[in-house]
Amino acid sequence: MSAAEDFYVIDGSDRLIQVSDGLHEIMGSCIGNSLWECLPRAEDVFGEVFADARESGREVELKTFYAGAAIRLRVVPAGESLTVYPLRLAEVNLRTLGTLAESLRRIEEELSAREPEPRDPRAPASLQALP
Amino acid sequence: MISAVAVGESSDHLSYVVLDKDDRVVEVGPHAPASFMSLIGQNVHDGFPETEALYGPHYERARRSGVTVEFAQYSDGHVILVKAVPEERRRVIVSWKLIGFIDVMTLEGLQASLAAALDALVQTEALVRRNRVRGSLRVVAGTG
Repeated sequence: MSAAEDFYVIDGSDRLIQVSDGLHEIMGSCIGNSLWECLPRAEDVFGEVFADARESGREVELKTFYAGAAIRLRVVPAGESLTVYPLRLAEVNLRTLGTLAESLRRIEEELSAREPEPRDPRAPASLQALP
Repeated sequence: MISAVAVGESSDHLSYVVLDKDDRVVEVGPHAPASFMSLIGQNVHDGFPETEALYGPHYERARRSGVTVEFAQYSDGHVILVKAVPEERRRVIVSWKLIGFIDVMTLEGLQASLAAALDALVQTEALVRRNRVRGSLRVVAGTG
């Protein structure tokens, strides 16, 4: 793992217990609270993969869309705790219809890319319906 | 110029600004975002230079034609219905109403909001076209 890679750690109750320096500004105030309070509507997006990682005891990767970006999550279990490495791959640019369309194309490319294998089958398939 | 409209802002009250012949802000309506107040006396496009090409030509068309110009526009994740009403001394009253926004939190939200925003744009454009034709017919019939 890269020294600069951002991460956060949640316990078995999905409570945030640690964040890397790079995420401290946006997530630091959530330490001690449920991750789902800190990341609204994320439970529907990440919850299943977190459960997979805990159940299998193996590292899991997910590519999906959340909070205005295509993201890659690497989820590393240690008992019931999870260390999550989020990486934003491509951002939505809402400025104009042109920038929106272009950014959605890049997001679709990122989500469709083969490596790593997407764990969320909804993501690449459902973006194909976008303009 | 509409970039200051916040997501979730009530669209019950119409926001407006009054622009002089050179697009300088001379009056800001009570429901317009506060950021417009700092533009009083300045060209409105100085505050939102990226969107000048989206709005400026419509204001000029209203001044030139002397007729109200309505249009639907997208910028900064919002879809808005804009009305430019020509006034004396080549002033224009620009009012707008939020009719849709793009939800970027989840893929499902993004998809649903994109579909709704596109629908709002299409429906509003159709309505504007109908109003334009209706206005023209009134002029032809001498009742406008």
